[in-house]
Amino acid sequence: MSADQSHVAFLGALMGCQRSLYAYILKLLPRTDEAKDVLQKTNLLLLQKEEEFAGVRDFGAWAARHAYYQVLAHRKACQRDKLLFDDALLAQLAQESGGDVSEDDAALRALSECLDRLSASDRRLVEERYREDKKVRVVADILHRTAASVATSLYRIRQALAECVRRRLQAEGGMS
Amino acid sequence: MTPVEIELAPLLTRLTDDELSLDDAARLNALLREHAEARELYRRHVEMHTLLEWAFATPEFANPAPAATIRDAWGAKRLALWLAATAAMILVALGIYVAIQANRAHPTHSAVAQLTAAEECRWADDARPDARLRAGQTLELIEGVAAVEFAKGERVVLEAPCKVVIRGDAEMTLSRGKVTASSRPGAGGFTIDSPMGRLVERGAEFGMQVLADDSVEVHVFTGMIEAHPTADAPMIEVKANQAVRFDSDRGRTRVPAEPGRFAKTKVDRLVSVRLKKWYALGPLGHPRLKERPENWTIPPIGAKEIRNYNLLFSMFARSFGSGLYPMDPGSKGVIDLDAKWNGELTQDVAGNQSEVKWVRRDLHRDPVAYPAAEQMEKSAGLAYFSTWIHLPQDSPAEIEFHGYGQEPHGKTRLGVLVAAWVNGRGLRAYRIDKDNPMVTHPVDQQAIELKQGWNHILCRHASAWEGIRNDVRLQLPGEIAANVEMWADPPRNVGRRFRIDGSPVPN
Repeated sequence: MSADQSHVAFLGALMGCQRSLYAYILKLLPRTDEAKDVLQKTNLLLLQKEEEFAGVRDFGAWAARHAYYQVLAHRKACQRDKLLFDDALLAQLAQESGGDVSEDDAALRALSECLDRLSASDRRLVEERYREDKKVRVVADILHRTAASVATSLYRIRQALAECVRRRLQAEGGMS
Repeated sequence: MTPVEIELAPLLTRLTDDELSLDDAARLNALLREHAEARELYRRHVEMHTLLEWAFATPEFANPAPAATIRDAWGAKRLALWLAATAAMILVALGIYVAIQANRAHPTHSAVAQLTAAEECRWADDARPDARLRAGQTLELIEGVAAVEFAKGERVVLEAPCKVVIRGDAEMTLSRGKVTASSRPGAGGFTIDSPMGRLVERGAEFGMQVLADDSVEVHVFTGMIEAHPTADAPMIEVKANQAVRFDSDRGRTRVPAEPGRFAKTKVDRLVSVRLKKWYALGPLGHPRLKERPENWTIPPIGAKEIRNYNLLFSMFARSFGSGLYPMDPGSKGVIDLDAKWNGELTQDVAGNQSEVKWVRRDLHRDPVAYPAAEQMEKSAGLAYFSTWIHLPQDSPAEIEFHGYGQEPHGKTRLGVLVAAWVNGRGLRAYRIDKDNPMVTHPVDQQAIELKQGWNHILCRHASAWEGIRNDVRLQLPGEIAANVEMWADPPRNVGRRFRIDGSPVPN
């Protein structure tokens, strides 16, 4: 592979796993702003380490490892009482998450198909929440429902979608 | 729902809404610590939350379109979010841009000299300097021979190991190694500072060397120089065929002149040849180009503009080599001068699509090699340029991409990617800014090898916003430059269909 192709492949791989990398960080550092900050630092670090790319077999695992170090560095810089998770829980979550940072396209395709199978009211709920990034309270006001019932519905829908996406990805993986 | 789930669900909702209270946080911690089931549900929740967040911010997602389009839209969304996350990096990048702009107003930061030749050079830290040299810039040559032309006309040849500092348009410091210098007829007054004082050239050709003990030797071949060893010591003149050594202990000593010790003759004077005859293909656009904001000017420092700028820029970076554009690596790599392109790949910033084909351009008058230059100025798009050059013998050359860059008469163009193929060998003719990986600059100059006979050069320019200026020059040894032939049309034995390495493709 020429330097040019390798560079393009590297950028492609990095951009192709951004959502997944963000999710990985958010699981360990569940405050949105902090997670985005760490994602940014991780991206910068990975861009600086492009020369390692040729020798990297599993891009996702490599990216996840660096993201994990960035999470640790971020925690070190924070006041301990501001941290949501303690060290033991963080280690456990990281271990159980593995290095599962992967290409986003397949998951997004699967999600599209799963969303099509939602009932009209569930679909509306998801759209209200995510299309304009409204908080649950706001969605509840719009739909004339209580916040608790909207939260419960959203929780149920997300878990159902997660299961649906998981099954579809498994089926796709089986086919190829 | 299980009991754990019933307790967890509202906590996760508040977590993703960033409304978790301290009590909530403590409870969430406890649940996650104690129950593997809770951790599994938490992971799935976060995973799905980010997936929905990612997917839904694109308009196409909400208004279902054919599957292929949706997929494309996702790509864009992913980019947009990624770029949002890297906005701070870009702020830094734009900061640099502003700094470049500011520097440009300051004369000491514009180019005062040019690196005109470099033979088998290795530079300290492997950092080959740009062709345009600024005051204050240090050149440290580890191996090879290089030539620098100063704006006031002095030509200085550096022989490794050598370290110099460019100080102005007629001024430099030699701190280690050997140089040879000569001025244009009628010029003179060039100054070289060294550990043993200052030397002023008065219409001469001379060699100068800083030795290991910091003593300095000056050998004059023609003309005359003035040496000012220290501030209060008297000035001495050194004339043709004379040489003097200056050192701190013994002052100055006459030594035999040794013109053979200096590398002057090793570097041939290079002549710049502008490639004027091209076939051009463009503008090729992209379906997403219409999202480019109107009246786009730089540098807008706002999150939205930064996102947009980068969306475009990254889109191009990504499209490169993806096989999306004709002749990308990965496509068949065939140039067919009679081919035409229609449809989405030709869509411009206004959303217009048009037929695009190869057009012959002769640059004797027009400085911008573009089929519709007025369309491309201040615009975004991609274009290819193909040309042939015939050499009487094999020769090394330097290929230069003018029209971009940071030289005084050019403009710094961010978001321009230039790629070129010389006889099929690819050059990445841009570099990533070391400090700001999101920023690229076109590379001013690169070494290439040309062969005897016909050579094919293909350039591909992509610009995210500031148009395309295909102004390519070759630096060639003088006697070769005087005997080159340049054509837009391929040689007769090749025909109008050929590969990027110049080999013919039978119909």
